[in-house]
Amino acid sequence: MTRSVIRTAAILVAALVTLSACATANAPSATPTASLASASAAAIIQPTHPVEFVISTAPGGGSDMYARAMATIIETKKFSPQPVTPLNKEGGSGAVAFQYVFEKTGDMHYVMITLNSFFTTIITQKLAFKATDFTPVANLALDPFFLWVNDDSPWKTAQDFIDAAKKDSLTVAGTGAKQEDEALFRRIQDTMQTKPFTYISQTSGATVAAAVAGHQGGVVASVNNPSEGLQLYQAKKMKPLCAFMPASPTTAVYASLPTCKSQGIAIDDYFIMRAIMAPPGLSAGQQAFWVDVFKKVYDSDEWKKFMSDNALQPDFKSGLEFRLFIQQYQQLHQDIATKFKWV
Amino acid sequence: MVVLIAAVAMFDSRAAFSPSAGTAPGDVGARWYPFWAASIMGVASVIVGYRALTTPQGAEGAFEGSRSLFAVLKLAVPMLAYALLIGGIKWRTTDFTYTVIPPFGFYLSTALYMSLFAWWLGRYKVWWVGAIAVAFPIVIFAVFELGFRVSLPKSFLYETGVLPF
Amino acid sequence: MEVFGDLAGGFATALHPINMAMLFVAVVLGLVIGVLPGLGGTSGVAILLPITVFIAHGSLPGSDATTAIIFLAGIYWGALFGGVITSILFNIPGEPWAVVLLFDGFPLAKRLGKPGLALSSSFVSSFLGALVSTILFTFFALPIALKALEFGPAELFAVFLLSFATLIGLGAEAPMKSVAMLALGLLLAAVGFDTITGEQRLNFGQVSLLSGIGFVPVTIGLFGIGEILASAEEQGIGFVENIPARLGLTDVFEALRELRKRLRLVLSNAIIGFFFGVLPGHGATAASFLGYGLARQYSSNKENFGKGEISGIMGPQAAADSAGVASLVPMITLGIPGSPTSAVIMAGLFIWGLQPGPVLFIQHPDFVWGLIASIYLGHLLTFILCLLAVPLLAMIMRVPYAIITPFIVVISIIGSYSLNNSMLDVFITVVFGLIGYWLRKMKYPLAPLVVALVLGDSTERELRKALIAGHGSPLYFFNSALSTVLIVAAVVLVLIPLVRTIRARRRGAAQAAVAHP
Repeated sequence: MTRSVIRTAAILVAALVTLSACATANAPSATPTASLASASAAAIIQPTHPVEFVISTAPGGGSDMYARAMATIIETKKFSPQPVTPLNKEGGSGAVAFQYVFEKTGDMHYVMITLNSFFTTIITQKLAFKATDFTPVANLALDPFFLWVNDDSPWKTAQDFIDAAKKDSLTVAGTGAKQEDEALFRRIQDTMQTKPFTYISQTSGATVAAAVAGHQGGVVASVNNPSEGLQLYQAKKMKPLCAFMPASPTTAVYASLPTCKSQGIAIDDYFIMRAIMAPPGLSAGQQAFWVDVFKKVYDSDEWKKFMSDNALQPDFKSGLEFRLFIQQYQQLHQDIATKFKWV
Repeated sequence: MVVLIAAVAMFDSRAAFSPSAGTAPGDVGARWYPFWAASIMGVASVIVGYRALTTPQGAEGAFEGSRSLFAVLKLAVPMLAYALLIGGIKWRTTDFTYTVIPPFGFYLSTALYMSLFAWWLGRYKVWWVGAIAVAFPIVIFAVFELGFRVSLPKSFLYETGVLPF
Repeated sequence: MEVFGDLAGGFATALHPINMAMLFVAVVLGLVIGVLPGLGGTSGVAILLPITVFIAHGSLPGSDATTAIIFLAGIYWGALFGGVITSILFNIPGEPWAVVLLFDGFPLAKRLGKPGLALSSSFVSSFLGALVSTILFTFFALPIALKALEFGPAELFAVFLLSFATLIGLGAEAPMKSVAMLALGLLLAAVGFDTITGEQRLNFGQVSLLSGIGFVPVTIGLFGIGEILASAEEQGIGFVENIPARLGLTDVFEALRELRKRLRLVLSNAIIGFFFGVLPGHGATAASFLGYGLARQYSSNKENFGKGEISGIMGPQAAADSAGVASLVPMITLGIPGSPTSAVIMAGLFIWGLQPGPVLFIQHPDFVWGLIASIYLGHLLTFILCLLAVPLLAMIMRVPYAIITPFIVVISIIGSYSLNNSMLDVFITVVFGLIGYWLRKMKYPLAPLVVALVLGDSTERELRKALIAGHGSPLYFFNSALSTVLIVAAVVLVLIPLVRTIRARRRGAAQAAVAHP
């Protein structure tokens, strides 16, 4: 018996020594070479094995739903020569997923769906990289925010809400701490000079809506996305007061909803992005492949229907335009984080 | 008994660690809850340790002789080696990554691990060992990778394109 | 009543050949997914989501969105039943709600050598639990879902407290050891990321630890691997011995007889499970723990718990399965998923172009009632399939040691890895395997550790949300009648065994004094 053990061990050691030499050569290059050249000019490089579509939230959340819808379209329409498999890497408000994809420098077999936590989490958790380090692919939609209150709330307009917020510190709910929902509430607080909101962090958009609809823990308002509040709106448990958008939404259900700007809350430039990012250091050709795939997704009828069903604002950005958008949002979140001492 | 005291010491060191993180000011904070959990655990384990020390009991040896220790190690050591083999070991410094063990991935490691047991503990004939080493990974590959698209860890040979797993 | 008319219409839809065929395929797939480690109901449903788009858009003759939801839900029913199989046979939980079956399911299968009985008991109680839940679903879906909205942090915290209280006496032989384990569980649950403030804690600067220490890798380690190491030392693992090789339905009849004895427990747990399932969050898992605690509280032979007591299988299983069905209620009626799996099913609805919510009942009655009817049919189908499979499954226990041992390690590792595709989870499993072995040796009870680990996070979150809402005042918990009642019940439940133990000790001490003057 002992002899066999020694034999096994010897084989293993020999294998390790020979193999470690070649494996070291695979170590990722430390400097992510930003591919600033125009992506469309380069020859498209295709993936050679199955692709992981990393989702930074748990199964069933908004981001997860959008990613699975995209993956389904890619699969049914055969937009990619290799399967694109969704994979949830939740935890730390996205930090785990960002770290995971960041470590895949130069590997095009990973793409990731991101939302505003891509900025907030990287800033507040002091991660070792920046949002601008990743290879941007495209933004597929902007998810607007509405201001929601309980259906039996005495406030009829956004102005009523602001007046009440100036008198007392209102208890509001949102998804996650120091994330997009809180960022928006703090912006309202800042621009409208209200009393500081008492912000209660919930685990998902659905539980935020439930908290408002059920008066849970004294919660009086939220800034849910239209799709998150729709069912409870139809059940007459909660109602939107205004939309943080430049113009009223086009979806039939919300068509009569005024913009918040027209009600005196001057915020119309804040949305949740539904954007695709890739690991740092992809070549122009690799980036071009993904831009092409997601452009096809964006142009598909399925995605168009999906966007209108969920009251998403169609918005395709790639290349330089998307890069500028990322820089703008990066700056906006950095400012909020500094102002409210999130760091 | 000795192990019991070690247990208390270990628990204590853990318990002592958390409060050093500090309780946040304000009515609720992130540290409040782990702090109290750690304190309760510390106190409870001190009591357990005290009881163990004061109440005389029969020598409750951790391992009844080296034989049973060997029986446990026989399982524990290959298991650890197996886990390490799947993921490999890397040392990451700021500008270079040293590979101590390259990742063998799930399938190669499983083949090795299963055949080790069949050969060493089961004392099966060589062809049976070979069959087990090939059959199990193939079945798992078919079910997980092909059937359900669940990706299990791949070997370093996958990255270079030599093997499909 | 118009409900019966709707339900009859639903059955007509569900019994349509294509729907029945897909339901059959789905429950078989669900069972396989439940048995396979690391593939739970949630990931199983998520993986098969793309296929349902073809189904919903009529790629199969006669299929539509109703077929698609019947298919997805069928997978869930299969997984609800199948998840317990690995718990009972290998001591590895296939699903979060099957964790509690490690306490009594595996001991009954292995130590008492009755895997067939353990499996059958679990299946019959699952079926009954699901049946009760589906009946409640049929008649009271909307009013209950609306009531559940009013469950705020204070009420939820009280519910979790109640779960803890019923379980506090687990491993009562050494109370301080239980307390230490409970605290360790709470501590482990706190590792990672604090969702209330968004702070990192106890992660020692490791980003990979930010997602926390998942209870699935830990329980796989503590129970699956820990048991293997422990039995290696006992020499000659008990897998081969004592297990009769009979093939037949005798175990099923025995399970039914046992069920008749415990009918009240199973029915009341099923009803409690239903209410738990409607609440968003840890529905089925919390319900299974509470179900176990209640089974133990009301049992006349408490000392048998943890050693293969059938009530310890039937109680939690009825509650868990009932909660699983109920988690669809708030999803369908209000668009608020009661469990991660129902969240993914809801994503499916969106992708097929449907909106959950009260409007669904009016706009697509075929869809809703077809789904409800398919819950009855799906469970019946799963139940029959499972019972037929029991003798076959029990045979697994007869596989030779040199294969079954590494095989369990292999599936443990698949299970912990594929949950989040994380090697860290694999190491957590291995390390907790060693810790589990060592805790067993030191006679520390594992149950309180697991309970605290599973429920700790939600308990803390609800407690702190309630404190924020009450501006730091603990009196907030007594603002609502419901939370007051629940908290008082929890306190009483903790005190009763305490008082009893103290009395028993005094009496014991008095008797000892008399015996040895």
